[in-house]
Amino acid sequence: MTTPESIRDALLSSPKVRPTGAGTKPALSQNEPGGLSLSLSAYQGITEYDPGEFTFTARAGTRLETIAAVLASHGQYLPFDPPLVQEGATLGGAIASGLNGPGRYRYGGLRDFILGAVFLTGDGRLIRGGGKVVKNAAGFDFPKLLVGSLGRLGVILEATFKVFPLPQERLRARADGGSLAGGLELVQRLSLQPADLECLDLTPEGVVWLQLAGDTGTLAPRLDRLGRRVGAIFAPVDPTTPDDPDRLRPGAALTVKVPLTPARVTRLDAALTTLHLPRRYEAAAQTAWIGATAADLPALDAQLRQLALGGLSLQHAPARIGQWPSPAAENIVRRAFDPDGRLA
Amino acid sequence: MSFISDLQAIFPPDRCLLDGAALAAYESDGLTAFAATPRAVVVPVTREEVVAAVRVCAVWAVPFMARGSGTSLSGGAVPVEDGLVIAMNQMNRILRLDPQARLAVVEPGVINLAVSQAAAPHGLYFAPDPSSQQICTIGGNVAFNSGGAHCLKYGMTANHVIGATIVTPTGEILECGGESVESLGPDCLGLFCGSEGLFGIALELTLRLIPKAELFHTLLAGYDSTDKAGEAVSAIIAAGILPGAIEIMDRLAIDAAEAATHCGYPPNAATVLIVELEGPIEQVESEKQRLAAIIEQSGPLESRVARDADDRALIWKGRKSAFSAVGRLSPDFIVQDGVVPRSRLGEALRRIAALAQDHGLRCANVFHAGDGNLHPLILFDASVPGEHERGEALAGRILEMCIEMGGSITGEHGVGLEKRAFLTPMFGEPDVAFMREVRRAFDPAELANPGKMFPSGEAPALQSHGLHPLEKAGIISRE
Repeated sequence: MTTPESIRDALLSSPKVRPTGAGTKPALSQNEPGGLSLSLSAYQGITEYDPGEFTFTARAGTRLETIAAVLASHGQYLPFDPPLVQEGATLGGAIASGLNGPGRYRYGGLRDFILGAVFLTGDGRLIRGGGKVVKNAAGFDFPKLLVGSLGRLGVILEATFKVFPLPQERLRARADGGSLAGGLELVQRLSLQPADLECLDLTPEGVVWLQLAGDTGTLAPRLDRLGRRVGAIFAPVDPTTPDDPDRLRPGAALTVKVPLTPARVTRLDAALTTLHLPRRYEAAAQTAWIGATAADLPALDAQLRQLALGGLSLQHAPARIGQWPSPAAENIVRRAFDPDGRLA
Repeated sequence: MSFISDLQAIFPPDRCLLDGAALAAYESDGLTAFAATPRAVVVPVTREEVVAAVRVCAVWAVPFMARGSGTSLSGGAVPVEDGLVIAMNQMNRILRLDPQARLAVVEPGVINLAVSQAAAPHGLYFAPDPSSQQICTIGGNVAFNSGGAHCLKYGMTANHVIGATIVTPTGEILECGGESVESLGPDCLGLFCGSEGLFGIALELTLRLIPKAELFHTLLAGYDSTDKAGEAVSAIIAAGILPGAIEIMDRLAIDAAEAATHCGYPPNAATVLIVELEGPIEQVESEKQRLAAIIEQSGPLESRVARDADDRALIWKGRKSAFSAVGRLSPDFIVQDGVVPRSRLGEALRRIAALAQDHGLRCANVFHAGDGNLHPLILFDASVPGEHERGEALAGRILEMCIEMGGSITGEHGVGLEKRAFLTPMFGEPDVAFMREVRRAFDPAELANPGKMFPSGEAPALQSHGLHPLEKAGIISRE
């Protein structure tokens, strides 16, 4: 399917439809029995890119890897640091899943960079929301609504994003907080510093990983000064060591996202300790990423419910575990977006 | 039983305003071209009172509008004729400020700047900084997704709100987002931001706070042409520098700012460019060398760097006072707000100048150059027959130009009353019709701030008990 018309025809051919991309997050694209899987992966291509505008527009099936490479050739990047880029994740899937990587700490998540979207409603209307310029306050912000919608409100066809210039250099470093509590305390001190960190991650052992980004030659002195200011010893990290945070990036090893606040880390971590699950706390402990197999999910689901937390499982169904936010607002918008419940 | 007696059962007399003199204060907003008289104004002090007022409106099918400080520049806070104004100003408590989680939970009537002031002891601030930040409220910022001078790098209000409790026009309470910057499910909060009061009223908002930058470097350069200033901006972007703010003002705007604030802008320049770098000391020190080289190459008449915090504040005072300062040049003026692709700013300005000449009016220009957000200030004298009409016509032509150039009819002021006629040209009939459907999903009776955003002349949904108050008032009709 390579035209909006053919995609719409396919959409309307079945009473139950699940839009899919490259399938890098299988639990999110899993379909109900009898439902139609509507693959957008052939609908690809960057349709507009003007580096001087800091914006690009691409079709939903375009691979993030392709986009990242084109952006990089013009010294730009996706600041929300989407996961599963090398694995083949598509732009549409990134929007629908609403996932961000550790680099979201600096400038915000995907929701903060999406500017416009063209999509099909559940009953097949082609709608354009937002715009193609970096600033726009006209009309309802449908592009943001689609972020995290899991394909259940509309079929995303095309989207426009804001991008930023790539930093000249990056520097990774770690400091040992000695324990989860010690590490958490260090993360909180760091998060109040005007240090412009790109990433600020925490391991359950209390190791704090951070990443600086900026002009050549400025990062080592910045790290040095930051360490003195917060009373920590930061060791620059060789990115090829086995401890490289990339090994534990969201998506592959860590498969469940749990939105979090720093105050809730301790209790969650205690629960995950009893379940023996690998995890990492990202963006100054605003997200937990947890590694869970299909067999782990029921117990994780129960623990999250007890803690009034919700999770999104990418690899193994069910995708929605723990206590999710009330669907009341989603149910209201569905009346307009998907009146027949085709995508629900 | 009546609508009024139901309100009086909730609100004491001093917070339920009914007489003409009291109501007059609420007739208009920052865009004084529009005025309407509400039937009543209530001033809630608790969220329960807001919810009760909305439910009374639902029962009696009376339209309502929540109002903050009334600084809207698009007529967004003009009351609905004969409707209810819910004045949120006394719901102005910062309920919780949690520096560790870097968030503030506030009532919607809190003043924008008050959040940053409360957060300052922790080295934090609330990034959105509309020029009216000393008086505008967070609730209004959210309703209109307000911007400011720092949007390219930091985004708009929607990018700094992470949670909201909302009462819908049917009286339902919704929770959107939460206390984490990450969330699950569709981003209904993102949809609520900028919905211009059409989905209901925020009762409580959770705001993201960020650390204040360590160092600022503010550069002011004067040019003999706007094109040169525009080229300097392009060169800064091409160099991969991401300034906190890039602002341009033209000669007329400079004159106004200088007269009002003695801000020391270059006296002979046709255009001034303000560039502000911000970040860690080492990064700013490095970028400022690169910036200096770019500015040097761009052929300015002169340039200077703010010596200290006071000097920086003075440079910004000139810029931020520009709108009101234009009042010194002209008895009346229209502040326009449109967006064009950033790299076409020079072309846009030439076209605006030509359009202004065609309309026989002067037009000052102030803009957020980093994000292509134009603020033409159209000067006119309402006492001269035809000038106001020509000013409105010129404002419209500028918006049409923005649409034609692939931009937007509003970067930060919202559609409100002022730009209703331009929503359809920007989006097309099917998109606008769908927006109305989404609106009706939240508000089947179209009671929340009706008449805003959508093209006029489209009637609200049919109601069972006679004419809609707006119809009685002749504001709307069923066409």
